[in-house]
Amino acid sequence: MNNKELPNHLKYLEVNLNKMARTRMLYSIVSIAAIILILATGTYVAEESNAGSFVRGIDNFFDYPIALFTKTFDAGFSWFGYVLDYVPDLLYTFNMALFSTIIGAILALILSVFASGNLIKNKTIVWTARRIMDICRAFPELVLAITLLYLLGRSPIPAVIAIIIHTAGALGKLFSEAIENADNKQIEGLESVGSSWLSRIRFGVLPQVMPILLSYGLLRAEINVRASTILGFVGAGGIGEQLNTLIQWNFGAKITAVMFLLILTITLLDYFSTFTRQKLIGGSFIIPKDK
Amino acid sequence: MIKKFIFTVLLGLFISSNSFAGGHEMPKFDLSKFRPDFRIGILGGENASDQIRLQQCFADYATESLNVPAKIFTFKDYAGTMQSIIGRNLDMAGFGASSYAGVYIEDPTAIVPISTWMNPAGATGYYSVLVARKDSGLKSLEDMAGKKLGYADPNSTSGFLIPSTELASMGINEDFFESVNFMGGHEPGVLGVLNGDVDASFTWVSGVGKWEEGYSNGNLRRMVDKGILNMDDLVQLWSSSLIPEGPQSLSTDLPIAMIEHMRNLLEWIHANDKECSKNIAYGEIKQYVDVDHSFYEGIVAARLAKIGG
Repeated sequence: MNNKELPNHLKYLEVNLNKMARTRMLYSIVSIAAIILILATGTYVAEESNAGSFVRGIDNFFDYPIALFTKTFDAGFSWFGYVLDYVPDLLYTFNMALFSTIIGAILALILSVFASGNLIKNKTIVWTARRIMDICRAFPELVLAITLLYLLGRSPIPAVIAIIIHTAGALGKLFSEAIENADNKQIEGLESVGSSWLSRIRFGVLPQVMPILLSYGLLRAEINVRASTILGFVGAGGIGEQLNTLIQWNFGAKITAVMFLLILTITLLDYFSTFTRQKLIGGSFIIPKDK
Repeated sequence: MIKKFIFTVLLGLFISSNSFAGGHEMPKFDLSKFRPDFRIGILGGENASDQIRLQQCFADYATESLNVPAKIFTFKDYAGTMQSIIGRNLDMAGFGASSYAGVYIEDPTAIVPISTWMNPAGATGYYSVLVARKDSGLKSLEDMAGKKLGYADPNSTSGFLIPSTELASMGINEDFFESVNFMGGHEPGVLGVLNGDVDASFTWVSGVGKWEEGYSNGNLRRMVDKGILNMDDLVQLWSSSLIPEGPQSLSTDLPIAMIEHMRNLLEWIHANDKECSKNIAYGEIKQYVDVDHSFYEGIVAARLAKIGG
């Protein structure tokens, strides 16, 4: 390379290339340094404002889980009794979750129809429906529930309202995407024989999207069981409130009993979701047959 | 010239503050040889901004006295403070008797109680009281049948351990009430009563002094002093027997001389800055009294019986 004289324009190109490479390298170094600096100062600030220290605390990391399981083991067979003790609280929380999922899903279905471009030709309506769903989705359940609990007092109602609002927004988005991805041929076919807008939705869209809607709904039910548990921590009652008290008393065995119930519920919901979906679509769609 | 002037002013300030202190030197202990800072934990339940605002004077005195920065840490609930000191992440915390017992049961070597306060009547104890709205028409514990009851915090002595134990010994269990809830602390409990979330809630009072002031110290006094409670709105339905006052406690990681030093510092603050002492002690107290673990053995047994280990 060095022996041969390069034409002028290529030389210029090479110089330029090297220059650009240096600039890029510089940018990379600067941004990496900036990220390291931000991380370091952030960690420092956090470390300063914490009572404990991350470095000193790291060897305590597994103390709590170990203590939980030791206490569970110590409890022996009475642990199974604890599991049964908390079933009524679980049902209370499950009721909250199920009720708010059903109402939320109905609202989501209504909203999603109006937010689907293939069913509504008016862009303003679609835009408005989408923004309504955005707003519903933007508030975390916890924030809504804490505000409502403050206004309405300690009961499951504020929590249910909070979950319904969030569910309507989150499910509505997924529903409308599913509807927009539906095959338009059925809709056009129904249109061509003069069916009404409602029957186009009923016979053209819903049969196509129902399995996926149901699947999303069941996933949401799962999420809402978790959400209503968490809302119990802030005063909505149910198994979350019990869990909060148990954690404060540090009852290892009972904490694991409640955890076990929650995990069991989610697992059962998952199985139920798979089962229902298979029933609904004859087991040929989405889920591969196990053979 | 200016330097000299500043020096004179500072000297003047020093002398005047000292003369305000009654010529009494603040006890000093150089903790900087052992620790980079001094971490004070406040028992959860009151809102964090009030906790920090009211306890900051104590942190300032501790900073001056210990030659290391003293920091205040607040917690959502009692358990937060308890677990932090068990995990050696706090140096000092004021506990209630039950939360002290809870720490002791989990790790007997974690903390040492140093002192507690004596109320103006000379008792080192306080009471759990059940309060309701005056316009509710409730007069006594019996009227609470089928009503909503609030407890303060699961780890509170007066807000849960003692009232639940005494109610049980009177034959009143949870079925007597429509519902029983933990309110998340003493202040949220009384606010819950005022808002009508629950019909009555347990809280702690010294039981001496004027009712209109919310007694001499305790949660009701604190809320009256903060201007968020008018005692005319409340009626007392029930009172417990005397409960041992909770201890100011130190982490056992600190040098042993700190026990004596912090006792002296608390007494010094009480003698020299009444306002600050009032903030630390949730109201007016007569003096600090040295305590050790034996003072809380009864509560440890009660907690083991009620809540378990």
